[in-house]
Amino acid sequence: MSGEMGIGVSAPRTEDRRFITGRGRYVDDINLRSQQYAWFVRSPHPHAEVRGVDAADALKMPGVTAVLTGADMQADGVGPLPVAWGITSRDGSPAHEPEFPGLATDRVRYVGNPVAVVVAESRSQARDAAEMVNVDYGELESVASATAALEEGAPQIHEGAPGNLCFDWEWLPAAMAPDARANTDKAFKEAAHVVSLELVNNRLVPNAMEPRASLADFNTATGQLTLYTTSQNPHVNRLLLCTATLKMPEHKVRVVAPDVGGGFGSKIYHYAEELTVCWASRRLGVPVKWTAERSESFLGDAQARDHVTRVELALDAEARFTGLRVDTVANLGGWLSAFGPAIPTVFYAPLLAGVYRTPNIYVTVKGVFTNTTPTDAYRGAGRPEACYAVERAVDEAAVQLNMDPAELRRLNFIQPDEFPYQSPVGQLYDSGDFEGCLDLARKLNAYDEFSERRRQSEVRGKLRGRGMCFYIEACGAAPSQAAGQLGARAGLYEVATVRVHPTGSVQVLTGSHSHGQGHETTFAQIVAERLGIDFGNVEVVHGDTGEIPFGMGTFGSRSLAVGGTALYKAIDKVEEKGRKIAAHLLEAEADDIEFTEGEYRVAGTDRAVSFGDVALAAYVPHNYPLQELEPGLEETAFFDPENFTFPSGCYICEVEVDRQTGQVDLRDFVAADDFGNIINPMVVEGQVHGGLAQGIGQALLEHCLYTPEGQLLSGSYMDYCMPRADDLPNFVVATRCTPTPFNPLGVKGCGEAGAIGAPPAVINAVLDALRPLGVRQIDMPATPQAVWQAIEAARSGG
Amino acid sequence: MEIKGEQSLAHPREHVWAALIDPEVLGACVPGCQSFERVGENQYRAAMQADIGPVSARFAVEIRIADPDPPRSYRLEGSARAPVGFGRGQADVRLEEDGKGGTSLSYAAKLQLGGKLAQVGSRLLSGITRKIAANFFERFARVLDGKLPAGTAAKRTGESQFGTAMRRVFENRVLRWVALAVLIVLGALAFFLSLTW
Repeated sequence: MSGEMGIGVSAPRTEDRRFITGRGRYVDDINLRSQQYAWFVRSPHPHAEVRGVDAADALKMPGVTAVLTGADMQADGVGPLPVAWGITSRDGSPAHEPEFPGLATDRVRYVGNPVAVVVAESRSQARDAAEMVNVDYGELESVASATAALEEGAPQIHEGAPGNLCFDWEWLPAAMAPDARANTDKAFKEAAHVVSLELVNNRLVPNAMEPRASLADFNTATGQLTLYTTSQNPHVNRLLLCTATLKMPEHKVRVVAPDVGGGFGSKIYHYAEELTVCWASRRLGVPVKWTAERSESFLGDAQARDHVTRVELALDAEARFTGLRVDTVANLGGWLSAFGPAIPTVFYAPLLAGVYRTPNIYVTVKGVFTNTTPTDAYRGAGRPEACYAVERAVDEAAVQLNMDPAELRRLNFIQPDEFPYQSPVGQLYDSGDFEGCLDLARKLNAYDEFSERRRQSEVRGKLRGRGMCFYIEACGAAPSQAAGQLGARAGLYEVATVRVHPTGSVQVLTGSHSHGQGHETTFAQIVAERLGIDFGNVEVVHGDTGEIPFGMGTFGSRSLAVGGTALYKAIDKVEEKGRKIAAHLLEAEADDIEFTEGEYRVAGTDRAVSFGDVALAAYVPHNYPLQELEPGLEETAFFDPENFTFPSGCYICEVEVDRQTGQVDLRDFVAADDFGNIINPMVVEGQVHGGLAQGIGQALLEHCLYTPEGQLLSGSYMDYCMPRADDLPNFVVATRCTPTPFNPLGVKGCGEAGAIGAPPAVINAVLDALRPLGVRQIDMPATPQAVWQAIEAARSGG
Repeated sequence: MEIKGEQSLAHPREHVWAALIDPEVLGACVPGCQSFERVGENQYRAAMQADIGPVSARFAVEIRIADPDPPRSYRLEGSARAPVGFGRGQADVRLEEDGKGGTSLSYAAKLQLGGKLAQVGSRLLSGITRKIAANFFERFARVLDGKLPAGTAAKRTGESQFGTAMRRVFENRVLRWVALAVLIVLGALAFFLSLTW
């Protein structure tokens, strides 16, 4: 039975029935008796003193229960929003971590910074009253761009961070690799060719389909707080709520993240709004709900990317990479988001080796405060930025050396017999077959017939270009001890409980969280495969700290590699215990019992007992070895990985550019990925499609834009252009498999790959198309306007 | 954002100047004035309700008049605050004789938006402002040409509360500038709000 929906089968997603019939249960679908509504008063200024909040008029408005401010919050002893990852500058000093209050106390540092909250009987009453709250702002000079914020005389955003510098970081640090810098400099001195590029990695807004929402219910009788919230990791939120902000005992707090409509990283963090409704509910004794409207998501959800990078690649006379130097300025926003300092550092620099044998790499990153929304992880989180820098530089080298970009890459690939491969930036790559992926992508692209396609485009008056990218990323965060050494303030294991019911059906309680990825299907497939039971007899429960064991949740493509492995190991325990029960029932030695296809069998005989009968015996232990074995069949496993996993892949993109309008049309997109073993190919393909759409969005359409002072200009879908179906070609998706040796499933993770590999592939293609016109450089997004301007600049000799 | 514009008017400069400060001409363009007070030398405070389409926002307006030089030039500085954000602006208006008996009117305004106004409306600001200016000057030219009685516009949009309050206000010559300032600073905000909400 398991064979129908076991590992490797494209089982239809069981969760989709409720999603596509409107029966999902999202936070905003939950309504409690006597519930009230919160509306936030947000700063319209990028930088200002808050001299006072006058709520007198607002309190007179109908339905208003309370107007609460940062001073009230402080008076109640609520702590600041925590930073979950500490970064150390190269001089040994810790990054400056300013105290970030949920509601501003004395200063606001970005447009949208929450200042006060109005609680009222209806949402519209709260909203109307919020307009009557009179905040006395003392406007201050402000700055939005990180490079401008570093300039002399720039407005000072935090007193503890002179020059707006949060940290000045290097990789590897001199303490770990004293010669890294000198050796890299030496490689450049001795290089036959040096390629140098200045790149901007554009700021993005995450735009999950479901805006964030939180509903807090403090029970004044029991002292129990229940928080329903749009989270990717409810236990992490509970931990931060209990230890850092609200300071309640953990056993008194239950956090539920029910159906969540997309996260992409933006729903990892413990946000001000979530904290505020919890605190307001405790203070007022009523349930308090907040649901973001879309324009609040633009201001309030942690944004992403926003790097300015100088990347230099050194090559020897045979075109082998000998050194890579990267210097990045990363925009952190007005405050530090939970993982804000980690994303442009430890999630970025260790991936800058790419898939190449570059022996010497040295990276510096300046983290900078600006008057913008804080930045943090977003699909890929540091790895897209790393991949973009490396793959743009490699293509530029191919152009300068007049080499085929595929051949230059091939020449520099890490070879299959070199795994596990220790990169010079601190990663131990698990496995890979880069040539195999490259050849697969070339075949799918009909690589050698490109010139004919280019000619045909010319006939139609279009410039055709082809671009390639070979990405590698680190998934499966994380080995907790390694992460701890790098500054993580949390463990990064995962947990699963397998609860076998007396009738043999199974409930999986997982610490991973599905907000669209399809865990309910893929995790059930693992159980069906392993225990030989029907796929439909497995229920996957996630997202409720009241039900699941303490897990770390879903981010960084970790669910299957870490959470799936925890499940795998819990199944191991169930299988083992079942073997002992079966041995008793079959009057044989446990060592002689085989377990296959849902049956325990005495090896070499036809004496067998089904898994269901074993489960029944465990709960009705009439004939059971009670002296040696506890009754029941429920096992939990925690799994802390030994290493990251390293998916990789080759993307080839072809574009046509209209030289009159600058319009870029994606004609063809090939993705050849290596995700290790695959549980559900359809789910994987869906993840690749989604990632590619987001990566293409970054490359061609999306741009979060501020005025120089920090007013958000692209704050609605009128101005922030999301990719739509008609912006995308039919993707050609294929996989090769080199299983990772670092987990028993041999899986690597596929959630972020598309968003990592697509941007450089697209931009390399656009540049390939424009090169005959003399265009050498373009930044993302390559909008028609940007492309047209690049063409015009090249034409006028610019 | 900076906005510049120029308008040729087939009337002598003194006529243009007089019309520009005529409350009958300008008044109708100022929507929903709720209060108007003088707070100091050349400084005024007003509350305006902008009710256009689905938008209803109450703006607190502050205006300063700098350097009036009749009939040649003046400068206006104003700001408007509402719960949906704020706007700030300065405008230099210049009247020059074109040597053919007509007048060339030029203006250069700097506008800044903040908060939600910037978030949802900035891209539209220059287009909307240009459109407002074009409409204004089209109407203004027709008044000068005598094709449209000055009072008509006021009556068509006119609320009586506005008429009564403003007639008193416009007895003060300096306050006439305020009407134009409000037009420039608020008109832009209110009109694009109606399109973006």
